[in-house]
Amino acid sequence: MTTYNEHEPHLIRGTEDIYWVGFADRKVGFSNNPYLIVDGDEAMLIDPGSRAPEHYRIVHNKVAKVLKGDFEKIKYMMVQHQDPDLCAALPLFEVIVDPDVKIYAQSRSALFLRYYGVNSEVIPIEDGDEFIFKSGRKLTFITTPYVHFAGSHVTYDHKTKSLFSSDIFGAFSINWSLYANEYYLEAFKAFTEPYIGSKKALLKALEKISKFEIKRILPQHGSIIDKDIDKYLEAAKNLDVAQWL
Amino acid sequence: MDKKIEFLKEVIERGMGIYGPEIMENMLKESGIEMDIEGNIIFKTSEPEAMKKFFDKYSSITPVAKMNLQMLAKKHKILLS
Ligand SMILES: [Fe+2]
Ligand SMILES: [Fe+2]
Repeated sequence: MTTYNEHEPHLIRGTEDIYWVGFADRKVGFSNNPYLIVDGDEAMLIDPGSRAPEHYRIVHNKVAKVLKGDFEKIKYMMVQHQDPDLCAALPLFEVIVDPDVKIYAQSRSALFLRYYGVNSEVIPIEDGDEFIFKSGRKLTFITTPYVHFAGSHVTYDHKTKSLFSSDIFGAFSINWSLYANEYYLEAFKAFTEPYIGSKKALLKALEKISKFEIKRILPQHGSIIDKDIDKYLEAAKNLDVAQWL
Repeated sequence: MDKKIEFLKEVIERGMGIYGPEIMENMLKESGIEMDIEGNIIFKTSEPEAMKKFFDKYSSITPVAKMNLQMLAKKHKILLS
Protein backbone atom coordinates (compact mmCIF):
# COMPACT_ATOMS: atom_id res chain seq x y z
CA MET A 1 0.00 0.00 0.00
CA THR A 2 1.26 3.42 -0.92
CA THR A 3 0.25 6.19 1.41
CA TYR A 4 -0.45 9.59 -0.01
CA ASN A 5 -2.11 12.82 0.90
CA GLU A 6 -4.47 13.77 -1.90
CA HIS A 7 -4.14 17.43 -0.97
CA GLU A 8 -0.46 17.35 -1.81
CA PRO A 9 1.28 16.63 -5.11
CA HIS A 10 2.19 12.97 -5.29
CA LEU A 11 5.28 11.37 -6.81
CA ILE A 12 3.86 8.39 -8.65
CA ARG A 13 5.12 5.13 -7.22
CA GLY A 14 7.76 3.40 -9.28
CA THR A 15 8.80 6.68 -10.91
CA GLU A 16 11.35 9.29 -9.91
CA ASP A 17 9.91 12.24 -11.70
CA ILE A 18 6.23 11.96 -12.62
CA TYR A 19 3.87 13.80 -10.29
CA TRP A 20 0.12 13.65 -9.94
CA VAL A 21 -1.07 17.24 -9.47
CA GLY A 22 -4.82 16.64 -9.68
CA PHE A 23 -7.85 16.45 -7.45
CA ALA A 24 -10.93 14.37 -6.85
CA ASP A 25 -14.45 15.71 -6.59
CA ARG A 26 -16.01 13.01 -4.46
CA LYS A 27 -19.43 14.67 -4.44
CA VAL A 28 -19.81 14.11 -8.16
CA GLY A 29 -17.53 11.10 -8.39
CA PHE A 30 -15.26 12.68 -10.96
CA SER A 31 -11.55 13.29 -10.59
CA ASN A 32 -9.20 15.27 -12.78
CA ASN A 33 -5.62 14.14 -13.16
CA PRO A 34 -3.07 16.51 -14.63
CA TYR A 35 0.49 15.13 -14.46
CA LEU A 36 3.86 16.82 -14.34
CA ILE A 37 7.03 15.24 -15.69
CA VAL A 38 10.15 16.85 -14.29
CA ASP A 39 13.12 15.83 -16.39
CA GLY A 40 16.24 17.55 -15.11
CA ASP A 41 15.73 21.27 -15.59
CA GLU A 42 12.79 20.82 -17.96
CA ALA A 43 9.21 20.06 -17.05
CA MET A 44 6.16 19.11 -19.06
CA LEU A 45 2.64 19.67 -17.78
CA ILE A 46 0.22 17.10 -19.19
CA ASP A 47 -3.51 17.83 -19.52
CA PRO A 48 -3.40 20.90 -17.22
CA GLY A 49 -7.10 20.89 -16.44
CA SER A 50 -9.94 23.19 -15.63
CA ARG A 51 -10.01 26.97 -15.35
CA ALA A 52 -12.70 27.02 -12.63
CA PRO A 53 -10.97 28.86 -9.77
CA GLU A 54 -11.62 26.08 -7.25
CA HIS A 55 -9.99 23.55 -9.59
CA TYR A 56 -7.20 25.68 -11.03
CA ARG A 57 -6.06 26.77 -7.59
CA ILE A 58 -5.42 23.17 -6.56
CA VAL A 59 -3.45 22.23 -9.66
CA HIS A 60 -1.52 25.50 -9.63
CA ASN A 61 -0.54 25.07 -5.98
CA LYS A 62 0.52 21.47 -6.45
CA VAL A 63 2.67 22.33 -9.46
CA ALA A 64 4.17 25.23 -7.49
CA LYS A 65 5.09 22.85 -4.68
CA VAL A 66 6.80 20.35 -6.97
CA LEU A 67 8.73 23.07 -8.79
CA LYS A 68 9.36 25.10 -5.64
CA GLY A 69 7.67 28.04 -7.30
CA ASP A 70 9.82 27.92 -10.43
CA PHE A 71 7.03 27.71 -13.01
CA GLU A 72 9.43 28.70 -15.77
CA LYS A 73 10.80 25.18 -15.58
CA ILE A 74 7.71 24.24 -17.56
CA LYS A 75 8.98 24.39 -21.13
CA TYR A 76 6.23 22.19 -22.55
CA MET A 77 2.56 21.55 -22.06
CA MET A 78 0.66 18.81 -23.76
CA VAL A 79 -3.07 18.23 -24.18
CA GLN A 80 -4.30 14.87 -25.35
CA HIS A 81 -7.49 16.22 -26.91
CA GLN A 82 -9.47 19.43 -27.00
CA ASP A 83 -11.86 18.99 -24.07
CA PRO A 84 -12.21 21.83 -21.52
CA ASP A 85 -11.47 19.57 -18.55
CA LEU A 86 -7.86 19.38 -19.72
CA CYS A 87 -7.38 22.46 -21.94
CA ALA A 88 -9.22 25.28 -20.17
CA ALA A 89 -6.33 26.00 -17.81
CA LEU A 90 -3.83 26.45 -20.66
CA PRO A 91 -4.26 30.25 -20.91
CA LEU A 92 -3.79 30.58 -17.14
CA PHE A 93 -0.62 28.51 -17.12
CA GLU A 94 0.90 29.92 -20.30
CA VAL A 95 1.40 33.33 -18.70
CA ILE A 96 3.37 31.95 -15.74
CA VAL A 97 5.47 29.19 -17.34
CA ASP A 98 8.48 29.63 -19.64
CA PRO A 99 7.55 32.46 -22.05
CA ASP A 100 8.69 30.24 -24.92
CA VAL A 101 6.50 27.34 -23.84
CA LYS A 102 5.48 24.94 -26.57
CA ILE A 103 2.11 23.27 -26.47
CA TYR A 104 1.71 19.85 -28.07
CA ALA A 105 -1.62 18.58 -29.34
CA GLN A 106 -2.82 16.28 -32.09
CA SER A 107 -3.27 18.37 -35.23
CA ARG A 108 -7.05 18.03 -35.16
CA SER A 109 -7.17 19.25 -31.55
CA ALA A 110 -4.51 21.90 -32.09
CA LEU A 111 -7.02 23.81 -34.21
CA PHE A 112 -9.22 24.40 -31.19
CA LEU A 113 -6.66 25.68 -28.74
CA ARG A 114 -6.90 29.29 -29.96
CA TYR A 115 -10.57 29.15 -29.00
CA TYR A 116 -9.50 28.84 -25.38
CA GLY A 117 -7.45 32.01 -25.80
CA VAL A 118 -4.12 30.21 -26.07
CA ASN A 119 -1.39 32.46 -27.50
CA SER A 120 1.70 30.26 -27.25
CA GLU A 121 3.18 28.22 -30.03
CA VAL A 122 1.12 25.09 -30.63
CA ILE A 123 2.96 22.15 -32.15
CA PRO A 124 0.63 19.81 -34.01
CA ILE A 125 1.56 16.15 -33.64
CA GLU A 126 0.80 13.12 -35.76
CA ASP A 127 0.63 9.42 -35.04
CA GLY A 128 3.97 7.98 -33.97
CA ASP A 129 5.67 11.35 -33.51
CA GLU A 130 8.27 11.46 -30.82
CA PHE A 131 9.12 14.10 -28.30
CA ILE A 132 12.62 14.09 -26.85
CA PHE A 133 13.68 15.94 -23.72
CA LYS A 134 17.17 17.45 -23.54
CA SER A 135 18.19 14.40 -21.49
CA GLY A 136 17.27 12.09 -24.36
CA ARG A 137 14.13 10.80 -22.63
CA LYS A 138 11.60 9.88 -25.27
CA LEU A 139 7.82 10.17 -25.42
CA THR A 140 5.84 8.61 -28.25
CA PHE A 141 2.47 10.05 -29.26
CA ILE A 142 -0.14 7.52 -30.33
CA THR A 143 -3.27 8.86 -31.96
CA THR A 144 -6.55 7.26 -30.89
CA PRO A 145 -9.08 8.68 -33.35
CA TYR A 146 -12.70 8.77 -32.13
CA VAL A 147 -11.63 7.60 -28.66
CA HIS A 148 -13.23 9.79 -27.85
CA PHE A 149 -12.47 12.63 -30.30
CA ALA A 150 -11.05 12.71 -33.80
CA GLY A 151 -8.15 14.65 -32.32
CA SER A 152 -7.38 12.36 -29.38
CA HIS A 153 -4.02 10.86 -28.61
CA VAL A 154 -2.26 9.07 -25.76
CA THR A 155 1.39 9.26 -24.81
CA TYR A 156 3.97 6.63 -23.92
CA ASP A 157 6.96 7.50 -21.75
CA HIS A 158 9.75 5.07 -22.64
CA LYS A 159 11.79 5.79 -19.50
CA THR A 160 9.13 4.67 -17.03
CA LYS A 161 7.00 2.56 -19.40
CA SER A 162 4.03 4.71 -18.43
CA LEU A 163 1.04 5.34 -20.65
CA PHE A 164 -0.71 8.69 -20.25
CA SER A 165 -4.04 7.41 -21.44
CA SER A 166 -6.19 10.55 -21.46
CA ASP A 167 -9.89 9.60 -21.17
CA ILE A 168 -9.20 5.93 -21.84
CA PHE A 169 -9.20 4.00 -18.54
CA GLY A 170 -10.89 6.90 -16.78
CA ALA A 171 -13.60 6.27 -14.22
CA PHE A 172 -16.52 7.67 -12.27
CA SER A 173 -16.27 7.02 -8.57
CA ILE A 174 -17.12 8.72 -5.33
CA ASN A 175 -15.13 5.85 -3.78
CA TRP A 176 -12.02 7.27 -5.47
CA SER A 177 -8.47 6.36 -4.54
CA LEU A 178 -5.33 7.53 -6.30
CA TYR A 179 -4.34 3.96 -7.16
CA ALA A 180 -6.99 1.68 -8.59
CA ASN A 181 -8.78 -0.35 -5.94
CA GLU A 182 -10.59 -3.67 -6.39
CA TYR A 183 -13.74 -1.92 -7.61
CA TYR A 184 -12.00 0.16 -10.25
CA LEU A 185 -12.90 -2.08 -13.15
CA GLU A 186 -16.60 -1.31 -12.62
CA ALA A 187 -15.92 2.40 -12.11
CA PHE A 188 -13.99 2.33 -15.39
CA LYS A 189 -16.90 0.65 -17.17
CA ALA A 190 -19.33 3.20 -15.73
CA PHE A 191 -17.29 6.04 -17.23
CA THR A 192 -16.32 4.46 -20.52
CA GLU A 193 -19.33 2.53 -21.79
CA PRO A 194 -21.54 5.57 -22.31
CA TYR A 195 -18.62 7.66 -23.54
CA ILE A 196 -17.10 5.87 -26.48
CA GLY A 197 -19.11 5.84 -29.67
CA SER A 198 -17.42 3.12 -31.66
CA LYS A 199 -16.17 -0.35 -30.80
CA LYS A 200 -14.08 -0.39 -33.96
CA ALA A 201 -12.31 2.80 -32.92
CA LEU A 202 -11.78 1.51 -29.39
CA LEU A 203 -10.30 -1.79 -30.58
CA LYS A 204 -7.97 0.05 -32.94
CA ALA A 205 -6.78 2.30 -30.11
CA LEU A 206 -6.20 -0.72 -27.85
CA GLU A 207 -4.32 -2.54 -30.58
CA LYS A 208 -1.98 0.43 -30.99
CA ILE A 209 -1.49 0.81 -27.26
CA SER A 210 -0.82 -2.90 -26.74
CA LYS A 211 2.33 -2.72 -28.83
CA PHE A 212 4.04 -0.99 -25.95
CA GLU A 213 5.18 -2.61 -22.74
CA ILE A 214 3.03 -0.85 -20.16
CA LYS A 215 3.94 -0.74 -16.48
CA ARG A 216 1.38 1.83 -15.46
CA ILE A 217 -1.59 3.65 -16.92
CA LEU A 218 -2.06 7.27 -15.94
CA PRO A 219 -5.58 8.28 -16.96
CA GLN A 220 -6.95 11.80 -16.96
CA HIS A 221 -9.82 10.74 -14.69
CA GLY A 222 -10.11 8.08 -12.05
CA SER A 223 -7.21 6.11 -10.64
CA ILE A 224 -3.70 5.11 -11.62
CA ILE A 225 -3.48 1.49 -12.75
CA ASP A 226 -0.15 -0.17 -12.04
CA LYS A 227 -1.29 -3.72 -11.40
CA ASP A 228 -3.17 -6.18 -13.60
CA ILE A 229 -2.66 -4.04 -16.71
CA ASP A 230 -3.60 -6.98 -18.95
CA LYS A 231 -6.87 -7.44 -17.09
CA TYR A 232 -7.83 -3.85 -17.89
CA LEU A 233 -6.75 -4.09 -21.51
CA GLU A 234 -8.84 -7.23 -21.87
CA ALA A 235 -11.84 -5.65 -20.14
CA ALA A 236 -11.57 -2.63 -22.41
CA LYS A 237 -11.75 -4.88 -25.47
CA ASN A 238 -14.99 -6.37 -24.18
CA LEU A 239 -16.76 -3.15 -23.28
CA ASP A 240 -20.29 -2.59 -24.51
CA VAL A 241 -19.78 0.87 -25.95
CA ALA A 242 -22.09 3.18 -27.90
CA GLN A 243 -25.10 2.15 -25.85
CA TRP A 244 -26.85 5.49 -26.21
CA LEU A 245 -27.54 4.75 -29.85
CA MET B 1 -32.59 -14.88 -16.52
CA ASP B 2 -35.37 -12.33 -16.30
CA LYS B 3 -34.11 -9.30 -18.21
CA LYS B 4 -35.05 -6.96 -15.36
CA ILE B 5 -32.96 -8.98 -12.92
CA GLU B 6 -30.08 -9.06 -15.37
CA PHE B 7 -30.34 -5.28 -15.64
CA LEU B 8 -30.50 -4.86 -11.86
CA LYS B 9 -27.40 -7.03 -11.40
CA GLU B 10 -25.43 -4.96 -13.87
CA VAL B 11 -26.54 -1.73 -12.19
CA ILE B 12 -25.36 -3.15 -8.85
CA GLU B 13 -22.00 -4.13 -10.36
CA ARG B 14 -21.43 -0.64 -11.75
CA GLY B 15 -22.61 0.78 -8.45
CA MET B 16 -19.81 -1.07 -6.67
CA GLY B 17 -17.42 0.95 -8.82
CA ILE B 18 -19.23 4.28 -8.59
CA TYR B 19 -20.19 4.12 -4.91
CA GLY B 20 -18.05 1.43 -3.33
CA PRO B 21 -19.40 -1.54 -1.36
CA GLU B 22 -20.46 0.28 1.80
CA ILE B 23 -22.86 2.75 0.19
CA MET B 24 -24.12 0.10 -2.23
CA GLU B 25 -24.90 -2.37 0.53
CA ASN B 26 -26.79 0.28 2.49
CA MET B 27 -28.68 1.38 -0.58
CA LEU B 28 -29.77 -2.18 -1.31
CA LYS B 29 -30.75 -2.81 2.29
CA GLU B 30 -32.79 0.37 2.53
CA SER B 31 -34.57 -0.57 -0.70
CA GLY B 32 -35.44 -4.04 0.54
CA ILE B 33 -33.12 -5.91 -1.81
CA GLU B 34 -30.77 -8.67 -0.77
CA MET B 35 -28.24 -10.64 -2.72
CA ASP B 36 -27.28 -14.12 -1.52
CA ILE B 37 -23.79 -15.64 -1.81
CA GLU B 38 -24.61 -17.12 -5.18
CA GLY B 39 -25.68 -13.71 -6.45
CA ASN B 40 -29.42 -14.41 -6.42
CA ILE B 41 -31.61 -11.40 -5.81
CA ILE B 42 -34.18 -11.52 -3.02
CA PHE B 43 -36.85 -8.85 -2.72
CA LYS B 44 -38.10 -8.08 0.78
CA THR B 45 -41.09 -6.16 -0.57
CA SER B 46 -42.71 -6.30 -4.00
CA GLU B 47 -40.23 -6.35 -6.87
CA PRO B 48 -41.43 -3.13 -8.57
CA GLU B 49 -41.53 -1.25 -5.27
CA ALA B 50 -38.03 -2.36 -4.24
CA MET B 51 -36.59 -1.65 -7.67
CA LYS B 52 -38.12 1.82 -7.82
CA LYS B 53 -36.81 2.66 -4.38
CA PHE B 54 -33.37 1.40 -5.31
CA PHE B 55 -33.15 3.20 -8.65
CA ASP B 56 -34.34 6.45 -7.02
CA LYS B 57 -31.61 6.22 -4.42
CA TYR B 58 -29.02 5.19 -6.99
CA SER B 59 -29.79 8.22 -9.16
CA SER B 60 -30.06 10.77 -6.40
CA ILE B 61 -26.50 10.87 -5.06
CA THR B 62 -24.56 11.80 -8.18
CA PRO B 63 -25.63 12.64 -11.74
CA VAL B 64 -22.99 10.27 -13.12
CA ALA B 65 -24.79 7.31 -11.53
CA LYS B 66 -28.12 8.52 -12.90
CA MET B 67 -26.62 8.75 -16.36
CA ASN B 68 -25.17 5.28 -16.05
CA LEU B 69 -28.48 3.86 -14.90
CA GLN B 70 -30.25 5.41 -17.87
CA MET B 71 -27.68 4.02 -20.28
CA LEU B 72 -27.90 0.52 -18.84
CA ALA B 73 -31.71 0.72 -19.03
CA LYS B 74 -31.39 1.54 -22.70
CA LYS B 75 -28.93 -1.30 -23.23
CA HIS B 76 -31.25 -3.81 -21.54
CA LYS B 77 -34.36 -2.26 -23.13
CA ILE B 78 -35.90 -1.51 -19.75
CA LEU B 79 -38.32 1.34 -19.32
CA LEU B 80 -37.54 3.22 -16.11
CA SER B 81 -40.67 4.60 -14.47
FE1 LIG C 1 -12.55 14.12 -22.99
FE1 LIG D 1 -11.50 14.02 -19.80
